[in-house]
Amino acid sequence: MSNIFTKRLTKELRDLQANPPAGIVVDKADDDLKSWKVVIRGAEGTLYDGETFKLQFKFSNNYPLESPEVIFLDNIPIHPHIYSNGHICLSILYDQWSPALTISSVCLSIQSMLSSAVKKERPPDNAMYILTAKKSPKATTWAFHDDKV
Amino acid sequence: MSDNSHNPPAQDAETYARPTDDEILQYERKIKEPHTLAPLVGEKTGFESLQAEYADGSPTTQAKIALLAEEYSGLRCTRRDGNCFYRGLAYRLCELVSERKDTLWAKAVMQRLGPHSREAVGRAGYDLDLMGDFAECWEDAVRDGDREGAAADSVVCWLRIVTAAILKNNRDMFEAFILDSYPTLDLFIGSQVEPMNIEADQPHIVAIANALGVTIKIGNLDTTLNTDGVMNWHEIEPLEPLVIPDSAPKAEDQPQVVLLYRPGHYDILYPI
Repeated sequence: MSNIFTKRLTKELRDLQANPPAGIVVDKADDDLKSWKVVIRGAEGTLYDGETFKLQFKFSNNYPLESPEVIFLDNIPIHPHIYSNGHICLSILYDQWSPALTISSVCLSIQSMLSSAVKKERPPDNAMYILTAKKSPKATTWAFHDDKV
Repeated sequence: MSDNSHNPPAQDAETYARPTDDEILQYERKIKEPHTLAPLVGEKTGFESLQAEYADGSPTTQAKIALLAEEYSGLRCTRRDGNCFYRGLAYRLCELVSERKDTLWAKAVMQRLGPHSREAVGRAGYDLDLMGDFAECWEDAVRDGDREGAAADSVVCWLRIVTAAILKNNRDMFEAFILDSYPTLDLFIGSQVEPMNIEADQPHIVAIANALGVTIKIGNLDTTLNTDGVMNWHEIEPLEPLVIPDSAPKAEDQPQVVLLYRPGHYDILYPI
């Protein structure tokens, strides 16, 4: 499996560096490919226009059969599905993950999630969540109830 | 909870009523444990354990199991992790091909599960550069008769993508199956086909039978249909059957994959 892990991530890195989607830049990928930082820019004409955010991806040896762990670092966007500890409520990062998805498609989904926000606000249960959440968002039992934002 | 200041036990009840995420996860792990420790595909056994499992079950189920025991030599249980349909199918098909190595049937199946499937996946818009490693695991396992390899998660993953590709490539036909429960076929595929650990249902089975050119026969142990103890079988035949030359010896059989269905789970059945 580790062979698939290396081949797959090497190819994803090459593709992202050669043909990055608009507003998505790989900032750093560790030599062992297990941890990446990717910068995404808020799309034009949205509440996050001009802002940039840093995502951290961590991959287990079982990637891409297992989802990557994805969180925002440092400047956490204020958004109804993003907690102030950087955890993101997005089903494809958890039980709806599929090995057919890529780092690039995850970044585009997160960018599109930012774009569809109509108000910059934290999730209503932010205070409670960040008190009880584990370090990895993958240890959370997520309930996905709003597909619109 | 309007007057909980006067009613401490109620407050306690509220505190304890809602488990933390951690407690939920621990509980989930505990109930899943026997399943995650089970082999991906178990040893071939008789029907005794099935009979024991349903000893207190409905007479309909017991009668169905008795019939199975007459007509089938045994079964192999697959791990109950939501991948059992794909895993059981892969394991059994690999076994059938290796038992009939070099027959015209086996060659036709190899064509369908190899180049034909890759072509369908590419045509559906998936990146074969990304998914090809999984295809290789499947093709290698069947060619080498490596049943354990065929039961791996990487093969389950590939069969899910092949299933999704057939659904996408035959959109008009399959939308009719799913549009009463999902707004679009792509949303259905994204939530019910592509992710691991999500069980297959009728549309998935029809699609993968079409891809592989193999008839998948499913015995239903469920009791909601009034079948009076007679096993209800569903035979899902590929719309596009295998192309086998007329010169094929008549004795050369075209085996089916036979699975036993219980709500949410599939095991492998062995004809006598």
